[in-house]
Amino acid sequence: MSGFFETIGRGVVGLVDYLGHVTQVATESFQSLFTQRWRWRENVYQVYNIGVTSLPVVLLTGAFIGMVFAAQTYFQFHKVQMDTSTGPAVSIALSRELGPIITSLMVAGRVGAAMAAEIGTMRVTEQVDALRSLAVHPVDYLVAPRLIAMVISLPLLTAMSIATGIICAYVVSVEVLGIDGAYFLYNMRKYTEAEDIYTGLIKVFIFAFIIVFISCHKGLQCEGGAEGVGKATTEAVVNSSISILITNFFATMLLSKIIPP
Amino acid sequence: MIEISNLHKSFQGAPVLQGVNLTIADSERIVIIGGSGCGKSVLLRHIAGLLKPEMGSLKIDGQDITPLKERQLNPIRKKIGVLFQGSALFDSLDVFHNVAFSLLEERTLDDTEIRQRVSEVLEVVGMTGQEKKKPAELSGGMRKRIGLARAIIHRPKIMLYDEPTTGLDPQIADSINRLILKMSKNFSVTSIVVTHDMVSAYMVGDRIAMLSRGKILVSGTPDEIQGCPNPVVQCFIKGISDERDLGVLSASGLKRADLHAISS
Repeated sequence: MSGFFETIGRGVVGLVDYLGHVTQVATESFQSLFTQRWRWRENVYQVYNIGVTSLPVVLLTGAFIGMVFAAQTYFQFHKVQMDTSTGPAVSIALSRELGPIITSLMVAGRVGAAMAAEIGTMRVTEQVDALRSLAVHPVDYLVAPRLIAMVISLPLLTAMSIATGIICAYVVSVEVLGIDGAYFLYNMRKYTEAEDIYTGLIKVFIFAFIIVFISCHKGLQCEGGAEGVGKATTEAVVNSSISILITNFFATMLLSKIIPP
Repeated sequence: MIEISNLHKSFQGAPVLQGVNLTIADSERIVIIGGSGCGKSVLLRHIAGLLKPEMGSLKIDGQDITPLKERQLNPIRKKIGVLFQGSALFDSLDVFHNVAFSLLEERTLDDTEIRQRVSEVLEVVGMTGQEKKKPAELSGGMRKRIGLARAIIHRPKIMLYDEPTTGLDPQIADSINRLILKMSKNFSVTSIVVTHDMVSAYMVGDRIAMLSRGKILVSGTPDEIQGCPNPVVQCFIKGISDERDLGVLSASGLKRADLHAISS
């Protein structure tokens, strides 16, 4: 029995220790943003790296999520003669939940893994120590530009993903499933409100911080050569994804109080 | 001057440094020798402010750096240059941006002055005209030279060399040793070299200190170290793994190679 409690205790201590380290990276990042100079060249490169290069995969995901969600919604609504409600159902779901979550998970998988791997490799090859020996704080050089880029890129990627999803849902609904296009658009505009868009984008803003802090922390703490880099990369993606899903629930509940649906 | 007193450090409960005491004078060239895993690089990282000790003090020019936080260490770090064992060049940057890194970060010089300083240090290390190459295109010896150029560009008072000749062929190793001497003589920097290469140790050291079991076992000139009666020191500098062989060598006047020939 004591072994059981010991295991639980170790897990809790480990979790608190981990959260403490991530918080430390977050604190140092904010300190860097407000007290150190911004590296504009590095920021622009990271916006390209995180935002522009993620665009194809994010648009493709948004398109297919929009199309399949439109088809499934139509199949159910058609049974009760509510075909034209497919438009608002798709647009609200994409704006509030599917767009932000799917885009954030895709970016966590693609960019979060790259961040952890790149910084982790720098750590195990002493490049992070070299930065420190040259009087440059690793957070200033490695984390702050990625944070700025992610906060700019992720909301834009999400907005584009949602727009693509809605366009593709319209094409499938009208051209394949035979819904009247005018009613699809009319109902969509009638029932989709600005709050639906804000809610999604506010959540994405939070997810951007989560992805950067967790992935960069994993990279900066990486130890043990190639195996360590692989482990850090996997953990960065898993931890970011789980944190996004958990935070999404609480953010949704909180935002529903502030901005009622 | 660097004053290290009673420095302790352990990793996951395993003690590495157990009360290191060492004083290094300005412009001195000291070589720290010792077996693999004895804590030579750990000691060097403490001097560079990259590790924090559990106990003891480490003063650089009279200032104890052990209680300082990461950002507070930056003024001290500007006095120090480090040549890492694996060179630690930034993969994503070309040679020019690697070498100019600290000057570009400081932003106190204009582009022309930075280019001039980069050309100067590349000439010192014999790598003129390599500015556009990426670290992946360089050999081990070239990487060490570029690492050295990056470390000296901000004109440090103290140079730390972590295994500068490890993994290099004897000729390249000799050229790196000569660079260490050149740095010391031309710029009067304090040089601390960590190595287990005794050829390098005898060549570059004014003084050699041996680290064993977490403490400085012995410290003296290369001649004093060679004449040191301590069997641990003699075994290490002669490359003998079994202390009994040391007695055979001393009694017979044979060299280590003769001993290997006899035993085979």
